[in-house]
Amino acid sequence: MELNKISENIYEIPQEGQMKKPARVYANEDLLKEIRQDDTLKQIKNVATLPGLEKYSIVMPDGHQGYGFPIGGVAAVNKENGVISPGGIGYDINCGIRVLKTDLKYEDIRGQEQQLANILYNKIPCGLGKGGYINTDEEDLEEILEKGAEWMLENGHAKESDIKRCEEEGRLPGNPEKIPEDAKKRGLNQVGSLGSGNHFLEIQRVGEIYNDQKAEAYGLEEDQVVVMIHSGSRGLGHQTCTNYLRKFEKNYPEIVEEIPDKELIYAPMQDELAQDYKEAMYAAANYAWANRQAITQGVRECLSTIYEEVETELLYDVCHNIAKEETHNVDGEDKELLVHRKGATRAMPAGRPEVPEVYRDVGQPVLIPGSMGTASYILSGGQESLEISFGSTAHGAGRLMSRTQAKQDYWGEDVQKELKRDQIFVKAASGSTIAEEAPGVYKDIDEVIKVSDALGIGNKVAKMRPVVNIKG
Amino acid sequence: MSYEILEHTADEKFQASGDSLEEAFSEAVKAFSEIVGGFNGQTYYSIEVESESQEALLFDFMDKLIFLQDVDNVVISYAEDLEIEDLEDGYRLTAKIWADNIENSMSVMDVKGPTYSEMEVTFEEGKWRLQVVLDI
Repeated sequence: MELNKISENIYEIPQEGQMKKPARVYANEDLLKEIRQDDTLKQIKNVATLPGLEKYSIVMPDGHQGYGFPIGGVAAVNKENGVISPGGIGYDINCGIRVLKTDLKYEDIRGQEQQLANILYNKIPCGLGKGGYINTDEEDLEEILEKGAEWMLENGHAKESDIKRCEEEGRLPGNPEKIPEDAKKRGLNQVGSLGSGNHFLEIQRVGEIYNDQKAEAYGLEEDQVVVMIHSGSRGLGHQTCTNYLRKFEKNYPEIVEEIPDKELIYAPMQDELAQDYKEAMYAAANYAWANRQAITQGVRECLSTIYEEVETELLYDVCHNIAKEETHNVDGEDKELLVHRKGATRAMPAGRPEVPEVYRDVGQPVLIPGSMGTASYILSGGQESLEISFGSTAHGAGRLMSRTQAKQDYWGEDVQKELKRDQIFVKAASGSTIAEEAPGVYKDIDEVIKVSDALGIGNKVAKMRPVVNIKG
Repeated sequence: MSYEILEHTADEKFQASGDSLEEAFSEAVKAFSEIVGGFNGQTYYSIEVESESQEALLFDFMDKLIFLQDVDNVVISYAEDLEIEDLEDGYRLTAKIWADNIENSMSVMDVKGPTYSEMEVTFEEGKWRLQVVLDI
C-alpha cells in the first residue's frame, strides 16, 4: 500500500477512491512494520470514507487490526454533516483505565505480594458469571445509567475527589431509556467486575520519573505504590453496541451497500437513530465509570485489611473506547466535532476545558498500560495533540500475536514462574489466560510511548513497573 | 461436520462446516463452546432466533449464546435438534442449547459480542461453511 512519509513518525495514505480525506499512521519504522502485518492500514483507509470526516483518519503507534475500525483508531467527524459509528467506539463502550494512588511505598508491600494477589483475586469478581462487587437492583441500574460515578458518590461508594479527578467527572448526558432491555439484563449483576480478555487489575510501583514538575502535580514519586484498573461497561455496553449495529444495519440498507465493511455501519448525526445511539452510548459510558469506581472500592477494602492506615486517592480515569463531542480548530476555524476514539486515549494539553481543574495548568494525565510483565506509563496531554491527533494518543502496547498462537508458544505456568523471578506476581483464572496475555504477545510499550513523546501528543511523566497482576 | 479455531490478532475466529446449514450452525456452537471453555452440558434452553438473512441469523444466533451466558451465568456446551426454517422474509432457527452452570472455580471466557467482520455463510461443493469473529 502506498504510504508517504510526511515527517519523523508520521506516514500518510493519500486520498483516493471513496476516501473523503487521507489516512495517517503515527509510528516509527519498527512499529510500522508490525502494523503492516495485518489489515490495519486497509481498515484506516476504510475509516477515511466516513462522511463528514475532518483532516484525516488516524491510527496510533499501538494500532492493530480490529473489526471495521482498527484498534488505535481516531476519527473526528463534523457534527453537522458527519456520522456516528458504533464500530468506531467498540463493543466495550468506555473501556478505560484508572490509576489509584496510595501512600504506600514498594518496601511496605515487599513479601506480601502473594497475599495481595490472593485477596484481590477473591474480592474482585473476574471472568464470567462471578457477579459484581456491589449489588444493584433495577432501580439502581437506571440511576447508574443516568448519573454514572455521581450515583456512586451519592450511595457511599466514592469520595468527592474520585469524581473530580475522573474524565467528564464520570458522567455524560446519557439516557437510560435508550439502552436496550437485553443490555440492562446483562448489566444488572456486573457493577464492579473486571471481565476477561485483556482486562486486569495491577498493583504497580512508580519507577523512573521523567518530568519532576508534572509528577509532583499528579502526586507521584519514585517507589510509590499505585493500582491500575482496566475494565469497561461489561455486558451492558457490549449488548448496547450489538443491538444498535443491527438497528443501523436494518435501517440503512443503502449505507450497508456502499460501505467497504459492514462493521463500519453508521448513522447520519442529524438522524433520530444517531441521537438515540449517542444517548445510549453515553449511558453505557456512565455504567463503565460506576463499574471502575466499584472495583476501586473493592481495592480499597482489600488494601485496608492488610494496611490499616492506608490512604488512597484517584489520580485519573480515562476512556479509550468512546466518541466525544469536542471543539477543535480545523484550518483556522473552531468546529464542533464528534471524536471517535477506539483504543485511543484522550490527551488534552494544559489549558483545555476538558482537563480537570486540579491538572489544568499541567495537562491531562494520560494512563497507558503495558502488558502484564512490562511497564505502564503516565503521560501528560501534549501541545501537539490538538494540531495532529484531535487531542489523542495511544492506549496500550497493542496486540501482536493471536490467542491461539500465544497458547502454542507459551505455557501459562512457565510465564507465571518467569514473572515471579522478576518479582511480578500474577494470579488468573487459568494458565491459558496467562499464556494468552503473556508479555511476548504484545508490542514493545516503550517504543509506543517513544513515538507519542516524540510527536508531542502525550509526553512522558512516569513509568510504573508491575508488582501484582490479577486477570479474569 | 467439523469446526476449526483460526488465527486472529486480537479476537477469536472460527470456521464451522456441515452437509446442511443446520449441521454447520450446530458445529458453530461447538466452536463457541471450545473458545469459552465449555463442559458437558447439564441443562438446556429452548431458543428461537429470527433474522432477515443467513448472515444476520448467524450474528443473532451468536448474540443469543453470549446473552444466555451472561444473564443466566452458564457456559454453552452444544446444540441439539437445531432446525432452520425458511420464512417469507428471512429465517427462523430453533434449537435446544445445552449448558452448564458456572461455579466459582471455573475459568470461563467472557465474549463481548458477535461481529460481521470476516463473516461468511457459503455453500460450495455440497458443504455449508460458516466463519465468525467474536469480540473478546
